[in-house]
Amino acid sequence: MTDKMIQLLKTVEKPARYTGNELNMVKKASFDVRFALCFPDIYEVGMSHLGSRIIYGLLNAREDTYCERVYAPWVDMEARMRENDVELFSLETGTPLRVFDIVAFSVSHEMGYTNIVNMLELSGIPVFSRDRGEDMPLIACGGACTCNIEPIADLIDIAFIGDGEEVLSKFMDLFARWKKSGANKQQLLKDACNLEGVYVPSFYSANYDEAGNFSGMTKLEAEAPDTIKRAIVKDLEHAFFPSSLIVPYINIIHDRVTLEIFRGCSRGCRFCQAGYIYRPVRERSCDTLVSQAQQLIHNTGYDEMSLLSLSSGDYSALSTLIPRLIDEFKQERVSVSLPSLRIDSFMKDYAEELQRVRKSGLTFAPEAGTQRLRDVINKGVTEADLIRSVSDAFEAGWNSIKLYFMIGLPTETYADLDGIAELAHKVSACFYTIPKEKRGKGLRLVISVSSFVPKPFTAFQWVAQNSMAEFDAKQRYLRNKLKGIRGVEFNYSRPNASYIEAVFARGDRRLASVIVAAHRHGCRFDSWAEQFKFNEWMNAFEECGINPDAYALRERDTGEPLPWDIIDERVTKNYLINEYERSKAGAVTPDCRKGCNGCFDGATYADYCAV
Amino acid sequence: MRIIARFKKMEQVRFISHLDLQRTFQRAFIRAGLPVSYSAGFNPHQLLSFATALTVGHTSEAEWLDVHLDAEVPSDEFIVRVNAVLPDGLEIIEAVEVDASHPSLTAVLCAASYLVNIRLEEQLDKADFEAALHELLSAPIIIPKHTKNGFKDVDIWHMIYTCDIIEYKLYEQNTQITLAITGQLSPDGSLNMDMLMEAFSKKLGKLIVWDVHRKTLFSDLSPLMPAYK
Repeated sequence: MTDKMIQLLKTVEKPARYTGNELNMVKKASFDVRFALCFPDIYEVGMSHLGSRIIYGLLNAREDTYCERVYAPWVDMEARMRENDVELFSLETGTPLRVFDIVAFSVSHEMGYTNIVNMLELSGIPVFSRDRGEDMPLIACGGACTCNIEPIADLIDIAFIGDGEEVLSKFMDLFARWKKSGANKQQLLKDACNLEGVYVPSFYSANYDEAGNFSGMTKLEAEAPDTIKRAIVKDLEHAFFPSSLIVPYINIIHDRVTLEIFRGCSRGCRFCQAGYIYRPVRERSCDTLVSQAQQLIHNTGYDEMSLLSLSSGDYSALSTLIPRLIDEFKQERVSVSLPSLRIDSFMKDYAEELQRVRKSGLTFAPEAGTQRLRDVINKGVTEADLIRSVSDAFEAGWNSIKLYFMIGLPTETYADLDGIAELAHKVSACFYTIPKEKRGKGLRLVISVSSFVPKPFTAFQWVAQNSMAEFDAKQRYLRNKLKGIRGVEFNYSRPNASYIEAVFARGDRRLASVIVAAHRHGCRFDSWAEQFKFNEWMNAFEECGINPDAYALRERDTGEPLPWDIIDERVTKNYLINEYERSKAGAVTPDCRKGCNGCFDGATYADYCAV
Repeated sequence: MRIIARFKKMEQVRFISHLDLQRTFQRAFIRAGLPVSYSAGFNPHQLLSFATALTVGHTSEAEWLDVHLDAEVPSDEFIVRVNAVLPDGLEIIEAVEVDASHPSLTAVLCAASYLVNIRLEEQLDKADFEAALHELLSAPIIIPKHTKNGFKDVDIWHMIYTCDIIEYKLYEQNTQITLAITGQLSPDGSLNMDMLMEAFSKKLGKLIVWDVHRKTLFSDLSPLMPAYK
């Protein structure tokens, strides 16, 4: 590290974000390919992302590749860097991004797009693919948002859709061979585009009709597939999982060992994109998980572990796994926490066990205030389930509960908002009816209400989002209704941020210019409340002649072509249309562990789903 | 049993905070499989404490920790086991077993010595530098100290015990100086090296950059650390 950099770091907040050298950081002396794994947010957020930790381990396990981490510099550091002509560099070796063979961005949510532009710009890399020559790195992306990366399609050379473990390995083999061959990038992209899960945006062009709506894609490269099938790792049990984790010095958001117990979800909640795009359910065995936990705790010294999945209460061997983990690590005093629990599968017996080691708040997600609306969104949870679960939790000593809800769901009326307040009231009453000696000191009941954003590849992908004015009115109404309920705290998301998210979630390629314009206007870190500049976003839309309402507020016809039709997430459009129709009738679709609902095209994908 | 150890915190980890450091050692002890003692109650934590916090950005070879163990671990074995799992930049230099009755490290400190490496992007005659230094040290040095009710002016002059130029390098485009400074470091107050250097920069009337390295901690009350005279 240069003296200049040391003095510069003394002037910024949390300089350890930029200095690396953590325990278990990979150092390599010889390699053929340089890979920059970029997360478009600060260190603390990027380091908490499990997907990145897996990719880091996977790529560094290869002899021919050195994978280094790059995070977005916070606004103070960015200012210093610009003042001092310092380019964006990797943590492991301080190498500027421009020097890497591959620069890959993890796109886990839409509000990171301006940070991607910023990181490219800070590295002297042209933002649009068409402006990059052979001397520039290959710009790639992967992650949850790849189900619709059309807004940044003109910025990306290659995208990896779905599970990265296998397709990335295959791609890196191909890349290493290509690099030795000396052929041009076009050849590489041609060779790669037929790997399952690989999307090369430049091989397709988007068309729009007279009304200004997307009307379909034209394939430009004969060798490219007509649609890109999401990559699915069939055997999660034997899939790569890192045995070591970088241990950060500073506090990160999820500062613990995270075990991915299964991928996919069988519940079919109609608003949930993750529930559809990670199907089918693939579990890891207890033995494998315990062994992974042992290795990770031994290599890191972490004293906290969490189990990750979309619905941990559904893990088939939960009643075996939890006691085993608790016993295994009692000596080391490692606490086991369970995020994302579903109400109806939360078991009282486990609650006591978990509490013995460490006590923290519990989270439940009823999502809607009335049974009618819960049936519409297919969140098969009853009020009785919720009350029973919270009573069990309260009796076991918990006094801090968070309930997640959404407003703006399809068919919602103010009666459903009343339902949220009624549930809050009932949960509060539940706590306070327990005799003082038996329950915790005071109740902290956080009612967290976010604004519904319709997402691609869900049954609600055709739905219009509520307007910002509607959200404001609903939030004011709820705040009033929740006043006076003992122990209640009301959290809500900002409607203007949810609106921008909705525009990009179902966006097309024309939005790339808006992202670049917004960045030029100073937009960064859009998911951070204090950094989000709504007015600049609106200026950017105007500057580019684009009407954001057309993306967020327009109800779509189930027959119209969608910009993300180019991606085949395996769950068929017909299935989603059917679910959409069923939602209008309030018809519940049961958990597919109980019986197949036919979400995949049975004939083609029969061997993927164990169900 | 109880072990008191001296360790280095060097360039690779100069920017981690004191709390970060504490967590780093806690995890290192777990990786080393040491039988660390934990406090009782709802939120058990390791019985680990430090003599004093080092300013973020400074390096040191005189940091001290104090840890309780449930079982006997010879001090030389302690050093080997912990160093094997510490990240680059941290290293235990010496360790000694002490009696439970040994006072807390923080309470016994009285002074510290530092090496301050100063750089200027121009040529400066040693005579001019010495003159400015002498001027600084001949008068009260008033620093605004951050207190509960805002800022209070304090004179830090009396906390400076010695200040000597031990190296002076004059180059064409810049000047590099090394100062050896000792000052108070005790429960009653500590000399803030960065504030002293800022005051000196003002007196010199020139832009300087500096790096601080703590060399030794002194104690009048414990035989573990050198006594200050």
